[in-house]
Amino acid sequence: MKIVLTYLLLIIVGYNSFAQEIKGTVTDENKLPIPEVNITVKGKSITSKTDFDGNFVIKAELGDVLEFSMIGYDKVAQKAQSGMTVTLKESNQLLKEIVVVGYGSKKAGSITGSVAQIKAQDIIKTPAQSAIQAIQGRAAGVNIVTNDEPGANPSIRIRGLGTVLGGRDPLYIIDGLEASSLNGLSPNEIETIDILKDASSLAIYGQKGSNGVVVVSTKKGKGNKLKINYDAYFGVKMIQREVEMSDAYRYVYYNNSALGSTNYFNFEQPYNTNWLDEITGTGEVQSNHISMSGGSENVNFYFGATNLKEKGILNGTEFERTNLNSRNEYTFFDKKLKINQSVNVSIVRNTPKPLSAFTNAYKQSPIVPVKFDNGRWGVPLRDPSTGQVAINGSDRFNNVGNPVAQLYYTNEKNKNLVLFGNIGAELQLLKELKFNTNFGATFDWSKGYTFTPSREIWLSQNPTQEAENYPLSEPVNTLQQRRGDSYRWNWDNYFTYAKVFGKHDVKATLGMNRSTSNNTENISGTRWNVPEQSNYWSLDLSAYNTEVSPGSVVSNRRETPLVSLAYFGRFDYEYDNKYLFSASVRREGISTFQESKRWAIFPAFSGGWVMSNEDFLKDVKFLNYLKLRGGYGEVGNGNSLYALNIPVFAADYNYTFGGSQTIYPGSNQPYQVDPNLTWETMKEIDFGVDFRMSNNKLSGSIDVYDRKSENVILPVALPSVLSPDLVTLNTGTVSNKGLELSLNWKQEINDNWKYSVSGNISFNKNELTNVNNAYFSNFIGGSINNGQWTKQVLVGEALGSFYVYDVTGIDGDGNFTYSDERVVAGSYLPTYTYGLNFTLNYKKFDFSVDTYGVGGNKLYNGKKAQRFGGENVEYDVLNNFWTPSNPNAANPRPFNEVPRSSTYYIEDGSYLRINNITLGYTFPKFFDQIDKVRLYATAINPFIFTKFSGYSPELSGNNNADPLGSAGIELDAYPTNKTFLLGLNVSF
Amino acid sequence: MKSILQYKLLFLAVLLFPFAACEDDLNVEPNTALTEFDFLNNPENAVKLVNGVYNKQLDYNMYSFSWIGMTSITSDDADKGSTPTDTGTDKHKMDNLTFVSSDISFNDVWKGRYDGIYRANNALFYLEQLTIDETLKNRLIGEVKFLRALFYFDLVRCFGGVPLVVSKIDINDTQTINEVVFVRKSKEETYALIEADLADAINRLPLKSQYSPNDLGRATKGAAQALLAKAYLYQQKWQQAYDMSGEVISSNQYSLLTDYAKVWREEGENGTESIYEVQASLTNGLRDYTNVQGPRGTPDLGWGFNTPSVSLVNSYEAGDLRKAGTVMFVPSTLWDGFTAPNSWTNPRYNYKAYQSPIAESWNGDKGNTAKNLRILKYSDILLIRAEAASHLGLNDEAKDRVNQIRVRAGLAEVSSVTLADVLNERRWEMAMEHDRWFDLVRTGNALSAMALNGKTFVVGKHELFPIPSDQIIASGGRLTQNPGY
Repeated sequence: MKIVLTYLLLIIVGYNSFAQEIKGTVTDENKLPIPEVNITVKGKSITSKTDFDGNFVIKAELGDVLEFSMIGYDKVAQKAQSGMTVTLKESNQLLKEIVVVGYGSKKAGSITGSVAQIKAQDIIKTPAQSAIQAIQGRAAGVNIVTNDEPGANPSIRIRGLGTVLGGRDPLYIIDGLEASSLNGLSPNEIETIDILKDASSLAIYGQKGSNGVVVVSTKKGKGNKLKINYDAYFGVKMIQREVEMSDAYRYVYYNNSALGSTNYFNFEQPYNTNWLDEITGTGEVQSNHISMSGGSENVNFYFGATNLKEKGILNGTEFERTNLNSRNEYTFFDKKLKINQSVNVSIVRNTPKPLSAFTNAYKQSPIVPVKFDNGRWGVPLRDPSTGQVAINGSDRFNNVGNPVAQLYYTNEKNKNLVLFGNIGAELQLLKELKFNTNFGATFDWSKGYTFTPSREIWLSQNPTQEAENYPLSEPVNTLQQRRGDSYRWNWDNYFTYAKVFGKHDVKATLGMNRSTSNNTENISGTRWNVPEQSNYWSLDLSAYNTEVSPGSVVSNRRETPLVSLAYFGRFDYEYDNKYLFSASVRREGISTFQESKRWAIFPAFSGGWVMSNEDFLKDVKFLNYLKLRGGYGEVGNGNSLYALNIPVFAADYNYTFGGSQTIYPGSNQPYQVDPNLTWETMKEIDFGVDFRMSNNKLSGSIDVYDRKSENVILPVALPSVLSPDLVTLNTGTVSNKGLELSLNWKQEINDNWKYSVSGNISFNKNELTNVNNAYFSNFIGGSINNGQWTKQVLVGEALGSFYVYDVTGIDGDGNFTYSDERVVAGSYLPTYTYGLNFTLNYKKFDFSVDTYGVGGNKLYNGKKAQRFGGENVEYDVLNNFWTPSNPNAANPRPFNEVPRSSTYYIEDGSYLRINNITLGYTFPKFFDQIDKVRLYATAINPFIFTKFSGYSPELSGNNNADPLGSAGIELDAYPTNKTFLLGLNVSF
Repeated sequence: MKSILQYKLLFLAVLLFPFAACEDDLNVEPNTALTEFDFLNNPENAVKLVNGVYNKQLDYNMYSFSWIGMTSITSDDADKGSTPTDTGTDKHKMDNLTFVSSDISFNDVWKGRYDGIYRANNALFYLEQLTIDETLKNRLIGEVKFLRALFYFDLVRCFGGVPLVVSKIDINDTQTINEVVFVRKSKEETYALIEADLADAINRLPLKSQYSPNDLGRATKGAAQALLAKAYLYQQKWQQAYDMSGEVISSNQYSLLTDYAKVWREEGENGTESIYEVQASLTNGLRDYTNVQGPRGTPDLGWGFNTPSVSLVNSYEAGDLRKAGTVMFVPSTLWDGFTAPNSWTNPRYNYKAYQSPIAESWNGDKGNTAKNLRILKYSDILLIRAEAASHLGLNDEAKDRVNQIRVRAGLAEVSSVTLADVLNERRWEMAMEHDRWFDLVRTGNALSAMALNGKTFVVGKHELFPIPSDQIIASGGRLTQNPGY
């Protein structure tokens, strides 16, 4: 027994009594530490590796020769001595990067999957609320649709859209913490973003990885020096493109024609309002970031604070976020134990305004004033005797609200406090074996209110009425108060074994992951008639507490949490820096499915061949590096419509009985479930080539992939006698096939001139290839608020395809003629996206231009289809509409009814946009303590080239870019902004 | 040394502990709704389950826009109403009898009834698994069967024979689905099911007076008998219709209100004339029934659809109090003192659907009002009795029942009645109550009545509405379409 115990002890503390321990550090020429350097004692089989900070410990005797090697660096041999410092010279610069993979990291050269990395300098270059926005155009295969509404999140789709239900977003891992977004993290905090794209890289994340994984590494304290950074910018924002609307004269002309009259509206009108000008102004954005970092031998610290303030271009919209981030790392026991910990706080205040104001400004007639001369709000009322707009007019000529009044009377505020952090430890058990544990958690508290002054709104709509005419039975105002909180956590534990013997480099990882999410609770209450001053806006000050409608007085909902448990392992093998192999497997269970359908195994394997290290290519001078790689993997998606796939009895199916009409509780099963519901599985094959040539000036990679999402979870409408509500079923296969190409050219002409050009393009073909369920039909969406819909999920087409009537011509009366059946009119999903980035450095000046473009997508001009009667029309419509003498016009005769969803409103969504032009100047060192002072000016989105006639061809849509929602439909959409800003970076 | 060893071992054990994490963690309790196990554990849920079936009747796809369009706007009693540009999606086609199978009203009405049948079948399935008092269970089963019969009665009147689903069906049981859910049975088989459900309900249900006052509004023996009488009438089973309506009359549970106009007002709710009505209250109201038919314009009380036709207005005899009780004329002062102004869009509105904002329960929520919808009332039974009697040659009985109705309407008694007189009386008594279209169709008078209204009723087609095209597609073409569509 004692022997066994002793043996175990040896395993734990390491067998270290024979040789001396040699410690040291490996750095590059810039004194930056290099992790993962292989160290061998010449003539012995003792090996070691440097850690993340470039430190190493190896058992060797003084005088032994140590060999240091690392892909991308020249080999160095040096005699062992304690506290030695070794400098490796880069053999080629581009390979020194460490790429984060699931539960570990790898040298970029050893990667066998498809991973895109974006670095800090590119992230902060495009100042934005979310770091994701800055990735746009920088990574092939990553399609980002930005949204400039203050506080809005861009949507991100990696290698196409694989499913329809909730699980469309990638998983975010922030220093080991699982998150559903990067909200709460200031872009300034980010060191690198690694985007894992192919299934062989993703499979280790199991059910969470099917939409890609975005791994974020934050900035850490380094070295012994205290470092302080200060970054600030200020900018102004305006609408990038405006849509020219008809003025009063053109409005009258068009609408008289629509009514078949010459004088329904008088051409002489007292007002001529430009509604867009009335609801928008110049926006402002301002950001200040300061960070302090540093460390000593056993402690590193980082503290950052960021404040971002934004005033949107829509009058009244405001957004402010303050982030505090603290990260520390401690080492103990000769660096055998490392503990890291972070605490992050984000406080958001948001004052949103309804985006329907944009649509109302588009629709409202220019002859309506913002306010009448007596100060009452303008309404579309016509005096029949004069044909002019008049406050006491009797004819309401459209049903559009006054958008200025709409903004004025919207009182909504939301506050959000997010607290997230993690604590982790890394324990070196043996020289080759380490153990990592990491616990991460996110708490999110939100509160908000909406105050609706109903009587004021009524008066704004009825400008001849007075307050005393307002019906007593109606509320003077209503106040809704909302509170919510949510909590999610994950705990990861894994062992990593790494050993180099001879030319063999072996690494194995074994671990587990446990997570709980969707632990959410919301409560809200609505009451009538509180005092109108905002300091009294609490429900207890309501003068009237009768229920308005069920659930509106107080509603409270706790979501059912989602729990997952997984075990995973990975094996990496490298031979002689030439042959790379990696395999991983994950077994995972999720609480959503029934017990027998809960567990699945997700395998993956991939390999690489560094051909340039082969003898037969050693002499090919122009080729510096060439790697072929390929992989296969399976990843799951466990997102379903319901948190638990079990039959449930829902409450609130109440009914009234008795002479006193009392409401009694009732119950119902709103839906049935398919007990067989299980994982949606994404299977992908990926092949890639990485290369560098011409003295490393040109580098690039090509990836082709074929991914198939099988058993796609779709909500299916069964006959109501089987299940009235939607049932989630595994039905259908979605295919995404694509090609990704990126090229970089980098050259230093001389000491003064440097430049680089990089570009990428990716093609993706999305198709719902098969549906294996007979009930699947009429899965429609893309509602455009006029009773019409525009999208349907169709086998053989891309998800979210537009499905509308085809305009076949104009008949003799000037009306459109349509096809008998709807036709597929393209999808909002682009078939290709591309980015081109250019940088130029001259002495202390830096200049860069970033561009981004998409193509092959269609958009629906939904705001234009908002015609019921008497709305305004675009200026251009008047230039070319049908008349008997102009029978081949582009537009039909003026009309006053809801138009059919048709190809008339489908437009080409391709665009090329200059995302960013930056000019910076770094001051010469004028004071010893200051490392760097840089001033810059940036123009964001200054130019766009597109045929789309609306405000913005970037339409991420509602409900998290739901393919059956308003994605790709311009309706109530926030226009893209152009921003001009000045910024300053100081570090000392 | 030994203690350090133990310490290290413990340490290793701690490291390995997470790997033994409990797979039981994946058995999550739901927070949003009750599980089957927890639900069945509580006998009180039996009543809730049945209340949930009643609750279906309040939904939009039961008695709101689509139902109003199909049963009333189609008929000669009502026009589409509202403004000419507001079609209500397909209500102009209902009015002109130009509807097609893809019009959403048909799918809406179909889905509403089958959702109700789903709830009824589900309730019957779980009632058997709940441990409750046998008397209560007996009654609850009776209530559910009545409701199921009522849903099927709407379906058979609209669409003819329909798929007969009488039990909870496993969604993976493709065979049953293909053979039951997607196969139409004949009209006769559908009526046979209705009759069987109602016969069972009659056996199980108490009389109106035997219920506790708190249960007012539940299905009664009288309600089941009344619906059965009506089902017999639609099948021209005159003797059975005569007998069954007689049962209701002789039960002495019901009588006519003195004032016809009050039948549809709040005061008349669950009154002596009421046999079965959908119970609505503030905050748990009937969805958009009054809203669809409420006066449009300023002040805005609704969408202004289903307006009484000139044909209906002109059909009343002079002095018939029912005209003023049925048709709201604009402008006028309404019964509650509310002024119906010229700023309303239409010249007439359905008075029976009027929800007074000043004299009745009202909280400003137009889409969700407290008005109970009258489904079966005593006057209906009297007219069923009269019509059946007339067919059976029992003219005195027919005359007596008609006179009962006429006296209340402020009209003189008549000495004899023909079948046509009974049917006219039925039109006036039941105007705007969703029976007119079906009455015209079942009596064979639709062609002539529609022609008088300038509409073309196609014999052999318009007797039935089309099976919704969405349902045919969902069935993979197994459901057959009605002739002519």
